[in-house]
Amino acid sequence: MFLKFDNKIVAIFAISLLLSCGGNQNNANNKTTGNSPGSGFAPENTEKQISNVKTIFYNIPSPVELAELTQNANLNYNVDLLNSLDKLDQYTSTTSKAMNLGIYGADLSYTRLYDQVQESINYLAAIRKLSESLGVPQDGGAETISRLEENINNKDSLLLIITNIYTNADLYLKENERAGTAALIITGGWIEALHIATNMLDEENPNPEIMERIAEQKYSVDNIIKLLNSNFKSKESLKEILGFFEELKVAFSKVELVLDKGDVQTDAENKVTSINSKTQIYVNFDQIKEIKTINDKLRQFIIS
Amino acid sequence: MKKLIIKFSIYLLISTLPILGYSQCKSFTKQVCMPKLDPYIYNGQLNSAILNEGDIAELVLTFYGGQDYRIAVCSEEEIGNVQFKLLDTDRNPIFDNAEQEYADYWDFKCNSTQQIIVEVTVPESDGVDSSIKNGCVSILVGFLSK
Repeated sequence: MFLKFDNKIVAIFAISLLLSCGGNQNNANNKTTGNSPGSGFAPENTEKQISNVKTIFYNIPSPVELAELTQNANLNYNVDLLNSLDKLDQYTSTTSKAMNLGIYGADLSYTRLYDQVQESINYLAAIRKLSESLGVPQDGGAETISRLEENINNKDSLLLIITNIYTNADLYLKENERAGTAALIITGGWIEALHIATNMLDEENPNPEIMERIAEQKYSVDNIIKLLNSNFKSKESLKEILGFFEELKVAFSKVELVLDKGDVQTDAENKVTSINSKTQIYVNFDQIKEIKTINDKLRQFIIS
Repeated sequence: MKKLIIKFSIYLLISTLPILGYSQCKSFTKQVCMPKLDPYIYNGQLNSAILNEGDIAELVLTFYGGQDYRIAVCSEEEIGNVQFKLLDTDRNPIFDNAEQEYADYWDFKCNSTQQIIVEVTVPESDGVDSSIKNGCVSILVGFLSK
């Protein structure tokens, strides 16, 4: 009887180990079957047999970074570009909560740049609510809001608060094996930042700097597709979203980015390397309009 | 009944070890690695894994023209000096920390937008110890707010 029971335990151990070692979502291009990075396990080897594993991560620009990139364009604040906070209660699925958390984050970065204090407070409250409903513990609670109110004229404090919220969400979700949800948040932020940038443009007199910044997002589209594919084994739930991204990829393929490599200078004393390359960007307004149309449809799909 | 509880506890412990290891890696990143980005703003995307000696991790990202970046690569002591290289998309080297005393962070100024690959390699130990060493490795990216 005891032996029988032990066998069951061993079987459960074996199944559980197999399951737990197979869950890494960022692991790609395995050269050989080794332990799974992130699993916390090294195989027990009697002889040292190293089987190297390659892990690939993809990063895409955060809404804060994208907002920084367009801040020099001297364009007017337009509240109509933002996702209405009235829709907050409509977001009930994990996917819509995560993506709209990213969207509101990009909106908050935008309101911050234009010193829209009350709007910033409102978006911050919505972000906290969505974040909480995704199960991410909130540090500070009302304290964060009051800290923001105390520092209403301090853009840097708000930047710090925004960064902290997203850092905590990303850390918490990845700690809890929910890297897919973290990927959806950053993707939502990127979509909204692109929406704001493409809708900022004046059709009669498009700002060439903004057009170039939009064109440069060609790289991000590829990275987002790879990020989503590496984090979702079942693509069914993301079928429509990935479909839009494939359309965006086609639209961005018409934009040409030609890199002329230059010299690289390293200043060892100050720990800085300067990369002096030059990228020629070939983009026209029709191409931007096509990108805008697809991205606006994608955004509409997510926010409605 | 007591035996059953003990066995179930052992089962729970073993089955949650991977998650604990991963979680410890995140704590290590937060406590040890993130402060290295200061005063740069963390891009909010955690790239960390528990790697064996000889393993390679890559981070694919975009550097935007006119923006300043800091890359921090942190690893637990037991796996030794981790090498990190910056490569362009043709895999030409831009930077190699092995030439800079294995510095664990470095700043980059890029005057035009381009795709970058950060390649991190965990060294293979040449000691007599037959067990494979492993530990947490994190690659973090920060940018400077203007």
